[in-house]
Amino acid sequence: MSGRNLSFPKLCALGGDMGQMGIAEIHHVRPSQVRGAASLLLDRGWFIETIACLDLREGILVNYFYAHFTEPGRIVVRTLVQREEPEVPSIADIFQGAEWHEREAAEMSGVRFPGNPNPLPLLLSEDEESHPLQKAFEDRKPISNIVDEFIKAECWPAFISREEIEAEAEKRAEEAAAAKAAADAPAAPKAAKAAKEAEA
Amino acid sequence: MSVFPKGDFYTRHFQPSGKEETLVVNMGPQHPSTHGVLRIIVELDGEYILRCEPVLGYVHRMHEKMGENRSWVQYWPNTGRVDYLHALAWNWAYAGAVEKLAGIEVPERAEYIRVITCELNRVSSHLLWWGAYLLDLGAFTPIMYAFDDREEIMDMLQMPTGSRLTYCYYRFGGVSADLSDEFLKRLSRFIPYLRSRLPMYRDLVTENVILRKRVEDVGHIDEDMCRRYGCTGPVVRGAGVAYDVRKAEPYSVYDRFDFRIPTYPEADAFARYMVRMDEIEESLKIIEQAIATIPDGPYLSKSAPKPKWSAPKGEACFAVEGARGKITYYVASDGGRTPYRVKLRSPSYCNLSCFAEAAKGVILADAVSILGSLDLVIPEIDR
Amino acid sequence: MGVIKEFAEALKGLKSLIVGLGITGKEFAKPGVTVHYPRKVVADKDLVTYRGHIELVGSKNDPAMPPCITCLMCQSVCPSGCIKIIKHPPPKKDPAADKNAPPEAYASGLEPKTKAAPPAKEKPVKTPKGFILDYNYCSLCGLCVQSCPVDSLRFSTEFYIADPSKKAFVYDLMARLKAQAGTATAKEKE
Repeated sequence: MSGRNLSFPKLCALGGDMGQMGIAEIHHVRPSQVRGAASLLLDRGWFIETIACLDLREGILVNYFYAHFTEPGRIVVRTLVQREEPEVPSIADIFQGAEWHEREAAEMSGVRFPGNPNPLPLLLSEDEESHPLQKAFEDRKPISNIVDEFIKAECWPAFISREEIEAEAEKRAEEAAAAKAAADAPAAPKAAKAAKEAEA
Repeated sequence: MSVFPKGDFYTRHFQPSGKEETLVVNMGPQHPSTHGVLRIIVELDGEYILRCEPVLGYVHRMHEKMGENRSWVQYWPNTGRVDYLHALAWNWAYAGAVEKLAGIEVPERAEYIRVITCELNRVSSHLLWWGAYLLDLGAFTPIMYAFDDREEIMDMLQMPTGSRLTYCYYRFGGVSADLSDEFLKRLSRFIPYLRSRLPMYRDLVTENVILRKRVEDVGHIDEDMCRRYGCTGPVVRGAGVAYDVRKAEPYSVYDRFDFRIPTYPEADAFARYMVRMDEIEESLKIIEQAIATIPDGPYLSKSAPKPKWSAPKGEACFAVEGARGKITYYVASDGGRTPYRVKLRSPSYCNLSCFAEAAKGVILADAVSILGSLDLVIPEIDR
Repeated sequence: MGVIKEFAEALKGLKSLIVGLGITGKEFAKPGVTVHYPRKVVADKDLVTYRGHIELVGSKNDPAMPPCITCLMCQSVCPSGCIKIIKHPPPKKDPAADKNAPPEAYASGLEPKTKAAPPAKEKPVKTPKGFILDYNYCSLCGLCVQSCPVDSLRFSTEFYIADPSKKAFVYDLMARLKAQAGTATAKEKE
């Protein structure tokens, strides 16, 4: 990972392993730093492979995959966006090919890319409102369930800790149970009432 | 003013540029040159294309979501159906990604089997592209010659795989059936035969003056454009860049074979045509070397996963060189029964994204030539 | 100069056309390779490697019964869920035998020295009662054949199948195996 000297503003950089996981370098950036990374990588001759979003407990992890025509390796630039405000500035004016990848990520995972020149649905139908690759709450896993060895504190600033996630899950489960109980409770008298009415 | 809005969602968003005497035309979804259901909205000034926009998604099947709904092993049939012309490369990319994730060893014989079958599949894919491209350009007979030779390949590939198009042959840690001696014999007879046919292809089509006029100096896609759009495969090699995943990130046993990466610096449709024609020869060379040195041994690893297996947690990326370019699988696992995320990077998708820029200002008939030279497979684009 | 060049190019182009026509003419004289179905069919030897829908394999002792042990592995691995196996119901326990055996032993006040042999249980029938394949949804991946622990499944070479109704492709593989065994024995008798 040394020697390339890719010095764009970032939160932290991790060494991947080309043989073990097929990714040579992982760079964690803030959403606002994605464009800086992209333009530096274009200058150095990297091309964009694809954009993949992971729906996690912490938010949506947006991965940009870059590869090079002459240099070996693969660079992943990843950024985490909050679910309440899933916005990453578009890089479609730097890598024109990213326009389609962004449109696909937008409709599949619900990430918005302000600045995309043509933000229409691409693969799904035009009136589709759901985002198919967003998971249900109970299916979402924290990032530590997927890659724990690569998490450093500086990579995940201001993000909730695992304890908080678990506490939130418990709270949700309790709420769901309470809601279910509340839904069941009035149902019984109602049914009785209906039965009475039917008798009358 | 009609009650019904004019055009559909995409044509309404494709706003007219305000110029007079331009015409907005839908090319496709049912157009013979789009090889399936691709639709391109073009704005024409006479015969010239002012701008255009591809509309995708007519055969979208959501392979990525299906990956999250079925177990690791159950995802196999999907991999053969992404790109039906070079299905084995997609098989391989998925196998490679999961093998990397779980650290599964592949026996040496299985690696050789994969090389042989994948290269054979590449030849058949290029032959079909060759026929279909000429069909687009108005030459009907070449596709019959191509199908004649391709039929032999499909018969041969049927022997180990059992199917003719949508193969589901590779498994984690090997392949599902061994190559028989009969297959190897037939294959070693076939290679000189196909080699003897290639000069005929050259005389019949490549040297043909009509074809030359249709493809030379048409559809320039240079290195810079390839980089900005992420074009790979014959498109980037036709722009003079010797980028081939088999050499750049050697996977499997490709580093043991001696082959050349054909490149042409002209960056036009003819360069891409010639790259593919040369690649057939290179693939035959690889197969020949692989047959000569294929070792004995098991074709499936003893530690190959059982049907109810699930991958350990982690993430992995694996790229292979498909007939159309770089195929990448990204898989993320949380250790559960199903993959957490499967991402498919299809080369046709990226290659097509540069079409809007490449086709600006060309004659409509040349746009067909450019589309064909990109070698598009629509199910791969829509996934 | 320009005119000569143009002329040479045109001649070269013309030559390429004639060469092409020559190849087409040669090919025209060759015999055709297309099999004109239904007047002709593909030879059986070319079908050996074809992988059609799955079928059951007869066991060694009884060609009409598969060695299947109804482990349901194929049913659970099938990505499209097109295999349905119907098990034999578990054997009913004999209530009389169950009630009588233990009290007798304890009534004597002595623990039985050796454990009495368990009452002869009826062996549960492992062979499937029914094996239904819905070929409409099958994608011919071969995962079921590969995952079968007793090699009870294989691919058929059934090739010429067409029907206007979807129902025709829901196969009862047990019946198919019985029919195959029947024809096999009939042939042997001949």
